[in-house]
Amino acid sequence: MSVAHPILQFEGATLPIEPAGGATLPLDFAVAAADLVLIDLVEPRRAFAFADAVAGLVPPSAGRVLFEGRDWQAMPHSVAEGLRGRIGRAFHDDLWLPFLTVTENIVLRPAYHTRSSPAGLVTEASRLCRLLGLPGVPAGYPSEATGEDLRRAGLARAFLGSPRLVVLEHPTERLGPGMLGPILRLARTVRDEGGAVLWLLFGEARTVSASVPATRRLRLIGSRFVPVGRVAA
Amino acid sequence: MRRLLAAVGEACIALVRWPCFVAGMGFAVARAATDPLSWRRPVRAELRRALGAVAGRGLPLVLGAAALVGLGMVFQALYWLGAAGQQTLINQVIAGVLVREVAPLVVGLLLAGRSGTITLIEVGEIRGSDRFRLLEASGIDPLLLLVLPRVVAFAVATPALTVLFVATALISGWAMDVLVSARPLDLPSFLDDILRTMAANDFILLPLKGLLIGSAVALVCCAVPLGAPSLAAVPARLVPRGFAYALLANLIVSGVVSIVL
Repeated sequence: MSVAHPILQFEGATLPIEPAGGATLPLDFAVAAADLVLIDLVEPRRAFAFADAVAGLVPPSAGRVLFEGRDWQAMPHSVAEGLRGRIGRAFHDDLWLPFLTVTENIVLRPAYHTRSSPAGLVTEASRLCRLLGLPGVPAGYPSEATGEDLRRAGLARAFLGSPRLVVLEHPTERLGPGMLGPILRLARTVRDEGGAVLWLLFGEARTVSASVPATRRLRLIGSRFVPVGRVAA
Repeated sequence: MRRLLAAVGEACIALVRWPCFVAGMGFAVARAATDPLSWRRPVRAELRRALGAVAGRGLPLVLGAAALVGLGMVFQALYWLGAAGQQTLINQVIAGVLVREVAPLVVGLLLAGRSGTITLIEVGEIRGSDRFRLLEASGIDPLLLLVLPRVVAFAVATPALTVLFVATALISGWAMDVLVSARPLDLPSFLDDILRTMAANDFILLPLKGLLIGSAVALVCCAVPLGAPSLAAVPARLVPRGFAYALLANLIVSGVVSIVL
């Protein structure tokens, strides 16, 4: 009989995510299916490093980070790569491969890791882009698209391919709180399909923090993760 | 004494570090190329794109250079050796110099200059920025997406372009001879004589040299930015160094293959 593991689990993990080089105090928490966890990391570089730690790219100084019950540091490289293919990530910065078109960039992760039909992926990418307020996938190369279009397309990229976990690096910081609704609708779909969403915040984000119906909220205070505020049912 | 030994050791390590890194990457690429699991859709798409960039866009450049070499070398050999009554030497000079040495080397240099610098910049843009993290975070092996298709594209395109280079140089040299010479050779017998002069190992050397030169140029152009992220972030430093290493690799491979075969 298989045991249902949390999607993401921190077991006494001290994360070396401080820009100055320090690590957090041990973190113990789990992200289960259908969770929407909001974590305020105060500063963007911490959010980037935390998202890297979630994907097993930054090993914890102590403790373990597990994805679907498996320790990132204990699994073979090829297995880790396959599991990272199940994580959609909306980066805070505009990170695109300049020699691929925006469409190729968006479908890259699922096209690399799955056998989904290319036409189906492009159709799904277009649908997600429309849900995020674009007329479709921005045409041409990333250098030919506007910054705002790329940010919306970056969100579509994160949600494409039914990821098990979506990590959002403060998506409304540059797109504005008007994007909360569409993002929450996409997050709802992921959660309904058995996935989870990790929403990372930093800077002035009280409006967003209050509007997101998180199942759990954490804030990094000093080097300790502290549960805060109300949680949604 | 210990300082002296340390200095000698550091110099030796610095000397062998890059060749070892490139050789290691070469082995990894060769292994990945034979594994069907490596050839996922984005990797295949990237191979098609790289082939188009290397072979497709490099073709006019290679044909133009071949026509000039044909005029400068084949025609000169036909004209002057013919005038000196040394017809038997013509074929030996063309087969020995053009086919064995000049064609693979010039094609390698042209591709290093054109497609090699593009590869340096493309891979450098990824390695020198957070885009490399984007690949890792998506579970995409940079060796498979960035290096494998480029190395295979160069390895396939270089021998093909070398053969076209030889053919174009021979035809352009012969065409010039037809225009200038009072007793021009006819093309089929001219080509037939060249082919008869070529030894059996020349038929192996030509594609092998092209394949190895193309692979070496691509490997170096990928290895330099991937092995030195700080260098990759500054194209003004990356491109001259990478281009110089690619030229060096081109000459070394050409020389070694010529000695062995």
